Amino acid sequence: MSMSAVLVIGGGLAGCVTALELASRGIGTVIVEKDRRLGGKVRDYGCKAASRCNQCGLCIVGDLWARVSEHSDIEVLTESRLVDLIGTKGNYKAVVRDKNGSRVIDGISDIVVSIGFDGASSATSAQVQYSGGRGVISGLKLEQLLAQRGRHGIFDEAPSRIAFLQCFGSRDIQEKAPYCSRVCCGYSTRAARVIRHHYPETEITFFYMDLQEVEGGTYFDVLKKENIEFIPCRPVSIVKGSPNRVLYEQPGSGGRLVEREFDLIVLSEGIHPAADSDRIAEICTLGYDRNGFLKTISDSGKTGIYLAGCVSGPKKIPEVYAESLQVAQQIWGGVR
Amino acid sequence: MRIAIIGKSPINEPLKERLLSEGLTPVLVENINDILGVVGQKGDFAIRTRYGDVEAGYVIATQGPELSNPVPEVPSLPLSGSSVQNILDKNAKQAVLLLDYPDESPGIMTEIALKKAAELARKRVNVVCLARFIRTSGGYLEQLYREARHFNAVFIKYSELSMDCFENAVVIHARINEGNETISIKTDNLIIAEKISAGEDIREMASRLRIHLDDEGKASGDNPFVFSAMTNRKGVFALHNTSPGLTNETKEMIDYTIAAIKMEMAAGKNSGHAVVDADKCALCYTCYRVCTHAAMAPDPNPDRSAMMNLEEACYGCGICVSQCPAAAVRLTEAGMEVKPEMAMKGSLKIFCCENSAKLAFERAKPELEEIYDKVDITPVSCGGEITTAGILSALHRYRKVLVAVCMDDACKHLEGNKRAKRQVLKAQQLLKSIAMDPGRIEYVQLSHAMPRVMAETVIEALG
Repeated sequence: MSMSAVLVIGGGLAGCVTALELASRGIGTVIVEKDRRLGGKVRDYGCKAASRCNQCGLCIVGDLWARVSEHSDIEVLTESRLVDLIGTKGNYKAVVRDKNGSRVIDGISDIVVSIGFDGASSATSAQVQYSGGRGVISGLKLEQLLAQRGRHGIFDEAPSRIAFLQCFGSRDIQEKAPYCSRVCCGYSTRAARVIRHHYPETEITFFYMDLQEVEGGTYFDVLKKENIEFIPCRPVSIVKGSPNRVLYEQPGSGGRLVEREFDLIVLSEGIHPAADSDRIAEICTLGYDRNGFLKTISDSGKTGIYLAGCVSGPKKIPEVYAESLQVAQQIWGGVR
Repeated sequence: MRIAIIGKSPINEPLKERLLSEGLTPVLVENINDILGVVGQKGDFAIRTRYGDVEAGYVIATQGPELSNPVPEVPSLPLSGSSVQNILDKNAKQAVLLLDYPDESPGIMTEIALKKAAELARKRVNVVCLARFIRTSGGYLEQLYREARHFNAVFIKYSELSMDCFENAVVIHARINEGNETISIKTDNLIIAEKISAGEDIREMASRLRIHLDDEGKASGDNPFVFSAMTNRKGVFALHNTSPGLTNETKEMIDYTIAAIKMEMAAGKNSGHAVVDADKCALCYTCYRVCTHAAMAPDPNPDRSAMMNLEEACYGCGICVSQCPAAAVRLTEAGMEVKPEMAMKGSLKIFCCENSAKLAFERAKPELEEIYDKVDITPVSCGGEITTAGILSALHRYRKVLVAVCMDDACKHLEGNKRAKRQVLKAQQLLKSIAMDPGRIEYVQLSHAMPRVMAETVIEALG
């Protein structure tokens, strides 16, 4: 390993982009990844092109994981965790633990914290059940279905009625997530367009409070033209059964409750701080913003500790990509 | 390193300062009509002007927005064009900020409206902000929104709106609560978000800088969703009609652009590019015309009457290779034409774009294990490199040819996939004209994240 390596904590999109950019400039990096493989959540995402590209940003990723694993200046430690960090900028010592025990990595100049995020899974997992195009699924599960789609469709059996429940685990004080997750409008409406492309007959309904991140009013019109229905309300609950039903207050009816049947219900889950946040915050001396995401408490240029990706708040794929390149550039500027 | 700023924009000043603070030298050419063209490549551009050449390593095109009042018949103040002090000087007790009327306001107006609403509300003006879309999801905007709310600014979302004008006041009727209620607000201080359009010069600018514009008149990059300031021409960046002033969004754009320039400066020599054979070149300018990256130029050497490739500008997409009528262009890195034909492995030849279909094929390997011996795959750097001749010559050796390229709107080189499609259609027509089965050539568009689509297509093509 070279004299001054950069330690990257988390080998998802942000970590891999940063590591690859640094390595391509001759700076050795070590990626500590808790999972068995690189890629984090993005690796499971599916393409959102319908008849043409819908610009979800996934194409930026391409064969990033292969390029990172094959790069001679990047060492990837899988199934590993950072357990301690000692030192100052330019001379950090990290203790990393994997299933065989602990090891100390010396001579680390800078640290990139890119531990990503967790889905709103605590709220989601209680609800989900799925088989063959029927049930209740999380947004991530829909991504996986899209990733595995074939020429003729996404589901084993075409659902005739699909509901999307927006802001699931976002804008929700009980979930301790009062913020907007910024990505759910984008992925769910794009996914809906893929579904529309393959299943012209399927009824698609969105229950929403506020569509924040759709690219403007014209996009909203495009969706409506594709026969996607939008109901402005947050449903009261999902009533389990066969088929499942959504219980909601009819907008403008003065509080009349309505139940509607759906074959498939998609929970457009949002972005929550990673479960590892607290541990990493303590080890790396980081603070929290008002929503519980990590933030640096002093200048990264001085501490040598940088944040990249959704660890500091919800971001879209192109934003993570651009930010990671910038972090790499800052570190490279400092090391030089 | 000299960085040329071309165009007139309110961000020129802050951009200049940032460049200086980064140790770069800004050179300003404000009037686009002074420019005849920009020649050369990244690191070594020459801007030809009426007054002589200006040399610069990189170019940032800035295009100031044109602001206009969307409803001139209604007496109002412009949102970005009037200062808070102006409104306060009128001793205003109340003000209405109107966004998204009659069409959706540009995103940047939200930030301006939130700031002005907060400032006015802080000075005890009753502020009502009417908008069809209140987009505050970015961290910074959320904070501004909270601040404005804290000082009692009221935000109302409407679905439809009409206005009655009186001598000194306007009455606004807004459908709210998803169209279930109507409210009327009277105001003598109506502040309307302006319409922003690309300046009229934008097309001139694009043609002189040889950068590509999308349907909305914005410069679009090779990979439009990566980095919005990038253009199809390496080393030329576009910060276009972003906003009337320096907002957080523009600051970020400037940061990204400077970071990108520094990275370009540090990048090594480009190895994958096109090479022109000067003996074969007929100087027909086809490559100059079809190159989406402005990487072809006439050779300045008077002894050689030929085109040349600007190596640092070239992406090695091969569009010029497939389009050159004299077969005078080749690629330095193995492509469709230069690669010696692999031994015939079986019955299907696949020409696939390395950005999409090749990666999908690799991911689909587990599913394709059984038929792996029957296919021979040639990745090309872009579908644009695929030729009718190449497809037909493959048919001598293979029962079938599959051309697999990127989805519409996803080509990194803007139109390589469209060119591939044209070549496939041409080849199919030729087959038809000699009574051969055009079905021997198949064509599919997909993304790298569609492995099963790739597997199914290959299996189906094998029959």
